[in-house]
Order: sequence, then structure tokens, then C-alpha cells
Amino acid sequence: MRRGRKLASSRSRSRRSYAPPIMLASMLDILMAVLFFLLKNYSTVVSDFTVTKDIALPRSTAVVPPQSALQLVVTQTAILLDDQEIVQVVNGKIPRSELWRDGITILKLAQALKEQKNRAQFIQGKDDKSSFSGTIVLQADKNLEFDLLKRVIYTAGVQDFVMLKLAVIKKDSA
Amino acid sequence: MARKPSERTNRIKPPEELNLTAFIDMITSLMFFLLIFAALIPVTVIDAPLPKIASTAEEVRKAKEPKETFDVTVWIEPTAFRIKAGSTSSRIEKKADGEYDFERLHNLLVSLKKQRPNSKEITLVPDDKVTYETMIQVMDASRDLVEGDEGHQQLPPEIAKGVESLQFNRLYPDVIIGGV
Repeated sequence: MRRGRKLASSRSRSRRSYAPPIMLASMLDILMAVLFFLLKNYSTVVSDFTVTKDIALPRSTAVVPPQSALQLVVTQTAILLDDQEIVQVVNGKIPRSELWRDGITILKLAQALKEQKNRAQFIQGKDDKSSFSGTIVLQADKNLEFDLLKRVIYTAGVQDFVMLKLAVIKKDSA
Repeated sequence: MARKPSERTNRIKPPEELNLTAFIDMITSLMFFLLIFAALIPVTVIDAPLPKIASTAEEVRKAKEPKETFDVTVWIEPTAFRIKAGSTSSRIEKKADGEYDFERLHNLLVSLKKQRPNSKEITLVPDDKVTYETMIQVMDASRDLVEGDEGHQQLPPEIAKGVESLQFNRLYPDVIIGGV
């Protein structure tokens, strides 16, 4: 009997009072504002240029936007060509075993660049093998010494990748 | 006798609202996608072409053509900058705090530019111990005229921040990395 009364009273309470629904309108406003901000940024920044994670690019006042080209990345620990690790860097230097007899050409990098050069020439359909001038975007850690970089740059030059573009972070940005 | 009003017709109805859950789900996933893939770090590039070995007959002929150039070379040494322009040379020692004096280097380059306004090329020869960051700072110091320099043109902000600004206030924008 008591149970029946209790059930009836709870039923009548549920009929009169409803839990107010969560007000999502303001949250939606916030989300929309963030979305517009991101979309605006997305359209103004060249999105096919990715900065490698373990690298600190130097800051510069240069304003020329990057272009899609072969990416040569030099970090504190490795040299990468188009995201493929080519040579390891030990204490800011390239191991002697990785260098050619001249002590400056990086063997594996030279081979990898030669493959890229052959591929580019094949795509271009050029018969004149000597007129090649390849473009490379170089991402290098700001703390690396020129001793290492000159070996990388020299090796690129030997394989006719002479249009060197140094990637930097625009100085006036956060 | 009046009948008791029906409970079904008189019950309080919940206010009808748009079901926004799916919409919010969509926006949230779009936001995550944008946050992951949007390159928020503005990257720019500095052109630094390497000297190419003349291999074709045309290239050899061009290389042999007499040119009237005013070569400016900056050696970045561990303790100072050494600058050679034409027949004159000068040296800028590091500051007392051990930092390179980029301001003095810039002022010297401005005075050299005044002598030969058409020259655009600068060769950097860094020492083996010089960091990449220092090289970029030297390139920055030698690229453009800044406010207060003789011959500096004031540009509207919309032009000053864009690629169009490359047509104005140039000092030595063409960098060649030497010592390789």
C-alpha cells in the first residue's frame, strides 16, 4: 500500500518538473569562433610545408614564402632527405666513416641526392644531363656549426642542387 | 458534471529544442583536424644559391664575360667580422658582452651601398665554429635598409608586411655562401 503511494507521488513529480536541458548555444558560439580563426589561418599559411619536430629553426626578417621542393633537414642527431634518415650526426659532427676520401662529401647523402636528380631529370625528360639545377629547401637547427653545414651544402652542390633555400621562422611572429 | 481534465493533455511538455549534438560533434572534429594540420608557425625562406660549376659551353661563355662587379665579402670569424669590398677592408670586433655587433656591420654595409648603389651581392664566409643562427643574423643585417638608414623609404603597412616589400629598401639581398 505504502509502496503504491510512493510510486504514484514520484510519477506525478516527474510529470510536473523536468531537468533543464544543457544550454549548448554559448558553447557552440565559442567553437564557431575558434573554427573561423583556424580556417582563416589555414588559408593564409602554406600548408604543405612541415617543420620537423626536433629542430629549432632560426628566426629571420625574411618574407619570401616557402615553395615545395626537396626537403633536406639537418637536426642535432641526423640528416634527413624527404623525411628519410640518411646519416646520423654524432656530437654535431658526421662520423668519418660516412665521408668520402676528400673528407667533406657525405657519401650516403650524395647517393640519395643523385637518385633524386636522376628522377627529376627523367620526369623533365631532359637529355642534357649537365644543365640540371636542383632546388633544395634546407631546414637546419640554429645551433649547428658551419663545419657540419658546409659538408651538407657542398654535397648538395656536387649533385647540382645549387638553388639552396634556407627555411627560417618569420621574426615578427609569436 | 464537468469531467476531470485529462492528464495527458494538461501535462507540462518539455520545451522543444534543436538537437545540436551532431552539429557540435562535427565542429569539434573539424577543429581538431585544423589544429593538427594547420601550420601555425609562419615559415619563410632565404635564397642562398651556390656557385654552379660551368659545364655547358653556354655557361662557360657567360662565366668568361667581363663583368663590372663590386664584390662585398664578409668573413664571420669567432671574434669579429672582416669585411672586404673592392679594395677596402675593415674589421668589426665583437661587443664587450661577447655578441657580434650586427648594428655596426649593417651601418658599414649601408655606407658601402651608397658608394655602389647597383651592387646587390654579398658573399658570406663563416668560420667552422660559427653557428647557423649567426649566419642568418648576418644575412638579416645585410638584406634590407631599415628605418633611420639613408635612402630608406617608408612603406604603407599592407605593402611592408608582404612579398611586394622585396622591391623596396634593398641592401645586399643576394647572398652567396662561401667557404664551402
